[in-house]
Amino acid sequence: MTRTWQDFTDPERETARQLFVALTASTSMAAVVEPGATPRPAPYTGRSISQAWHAIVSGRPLPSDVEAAGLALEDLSALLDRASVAAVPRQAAAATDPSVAAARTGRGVTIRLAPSRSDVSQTYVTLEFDDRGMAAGRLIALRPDGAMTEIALPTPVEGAVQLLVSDDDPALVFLADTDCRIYLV
Amino acid sequence: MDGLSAERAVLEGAISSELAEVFRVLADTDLGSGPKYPAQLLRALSRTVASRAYGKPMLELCHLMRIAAAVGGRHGWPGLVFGVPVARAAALRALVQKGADSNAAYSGLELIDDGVTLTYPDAAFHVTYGRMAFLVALAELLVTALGYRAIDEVVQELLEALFESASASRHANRLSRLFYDYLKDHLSTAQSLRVFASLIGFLERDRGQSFSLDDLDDDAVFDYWSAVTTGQTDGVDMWGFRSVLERVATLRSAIEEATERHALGTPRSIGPDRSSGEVDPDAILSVLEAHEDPADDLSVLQTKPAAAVKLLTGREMADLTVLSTLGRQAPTLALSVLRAETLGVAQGRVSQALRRRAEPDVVSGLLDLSGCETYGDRLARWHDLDARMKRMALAALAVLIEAGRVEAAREVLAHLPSADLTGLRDRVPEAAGANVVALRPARAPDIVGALQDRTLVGEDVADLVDEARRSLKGLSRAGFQPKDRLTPSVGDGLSVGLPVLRRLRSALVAVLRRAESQVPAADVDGRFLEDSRRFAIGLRALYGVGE
Repeated sequence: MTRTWQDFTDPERETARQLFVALTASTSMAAVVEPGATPRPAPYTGRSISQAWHAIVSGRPLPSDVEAAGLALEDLSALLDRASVAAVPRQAAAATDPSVAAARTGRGVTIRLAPSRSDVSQTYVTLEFDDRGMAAGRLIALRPDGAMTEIALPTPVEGAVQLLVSDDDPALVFLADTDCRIYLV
Repeated sequence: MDGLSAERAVLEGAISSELAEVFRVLADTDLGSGPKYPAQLLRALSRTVASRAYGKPMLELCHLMRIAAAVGGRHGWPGLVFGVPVARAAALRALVQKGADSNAAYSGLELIDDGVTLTYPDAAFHVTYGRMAFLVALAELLVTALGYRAIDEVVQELLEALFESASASRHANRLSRLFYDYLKDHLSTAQSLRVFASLIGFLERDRGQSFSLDDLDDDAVFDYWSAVTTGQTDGVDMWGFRSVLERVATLRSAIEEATERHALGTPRSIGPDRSSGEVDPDAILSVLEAHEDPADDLSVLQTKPAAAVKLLTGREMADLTVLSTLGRQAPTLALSVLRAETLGVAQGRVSQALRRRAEPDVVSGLLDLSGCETYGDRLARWHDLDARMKRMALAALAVLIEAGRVEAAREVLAHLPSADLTGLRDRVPEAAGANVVALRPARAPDIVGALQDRTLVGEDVADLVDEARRSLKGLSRAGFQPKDRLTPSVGDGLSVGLPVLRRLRSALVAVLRRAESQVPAADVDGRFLEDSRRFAIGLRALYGVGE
């Protein structure tokens, strides 16, 4: 004989209620993940952590800022730190001391900025690796406001890389900014 | 499910727009090798979240994190979890094996055939590569929802703790608590409970206090929708006929399951407050899996390996979406499926016209259901679809035979369950030994060739094979052209997709038969007119346009 709703005990009704709620929620989530289910807003910037990681470790171009990456600043920073062979933290407390900007030491690397003697409009950027066998393909700089830049690095010679950068190069502004965090990937 | 349905899911309030976005990000993740997370995997994940049955998976995830950290080298656990291009067993196996070869810090872990065993001093734990795919998706879900640092902090503490099973349990509990807190704000029960109460209240008023499962029928769907149009549903704004149909089907499943539990005498209410009916999340998960598996069928056909073969076109899939979504409830609510595919679609056009501020005469015409597909048209369309699905299944059988795939014999039995294939027994290659495991379905040209031998398999099977060959002629869909047929990916795609096609066709036939029994051919036009008159009144009431 078919049981009626009246025959259901309170726990049984509660069971039916919970099942209804879970089934409804599951259907709602399924609607989102269905292949080609939802039109994405354009331009669409997903915040896939895998895609951010993939871009960092595979040398693909990075977004111009944290917002475009769709990640929280500190999350992106932590991700870059994990992926990097060497990193230099921000040194905001000493920002007024020009000597700090000229030479910053971090995990596995020291970065020095020195004006070119032959051309006053250019600056030498030197990366000295603690481990002379270390190498990195690019330098990624992350500012506290979320702006990012990257510089492709040549193969180190005797544990060091030297670049000659024009003073009006935006990358140099990042490197001279002691608030900026620097990662070598 | 169409885009509007996805938006509707959020609007209906079961999940927050942020949680929907988290799932959308996972669905869109592509590292250059196609979607990282197959739709079925995300469906499994969404069920786990919806049922809040993530306790055990969190424990498994902690074990996986130890494996990932060991094989990830300098990159640690993200190297495996974020680095694997697609969340599939083969890709994970390759990455784990590569990492194991190049990283020395690997004590306590042993790679065996199907996964990795962690041998702790206090216990051993095994994680298969297949399961890793799900756990990687869970990890990415957690990181996307809660942030990388929040999860990494727990994982680092786990990795720095003693290498013992008990520490995995402690950290799994921490992850569970973090996720539980997140879901408090993003997985709402309030709106679903309102819908539940509204449906129950409606049935009690309309069918009496002693209503039963049998009262949750096609009439209940139409009557409840009509009540919605006149605002008699306790403040629940579920305007779409299809939404109402889906919720009634959901209620049927929920009540059916509660009834079955009672019949078994094992309510399995093992939550902390059993007397109030608290249900074990794993029990809820098993109900969700049973209810929603049929809905996954269309996704299976759209993803690899089945996607290598075009068994169904986009339009054919669209025609199967409603009945596929309703799963086992579809045949019981067949007339409602027919209404949803005709009158319900017309309602969708009205709401789209209103959204784009169409001219009043256009809206008025739509409200009068002008151009609405009739029941007769839709039933004929289902018959055509059935015939096309039959042809595709037969053509696929011919491809399997041509490719010498052993699955051909399975398909023959699916078409002719009483077929006697014992004559093929001598063609089966002798097993090399009990410990030999076939890595992939073998080609078996001898067996398959014998399927065409009338003296061995009989007239019925031979006729079926002939019919299959005829079905294949002139078919130009992907996977059926001569250049495609012998490629392994097509054989693998058919191996997965063909049973799904059969299930979908069975569901279609069940709905079609039931609908035709409820609306006999002699009544089909009259019934449509009667229903459409009532539906049009509802539409005018709903969209505020008087007659």
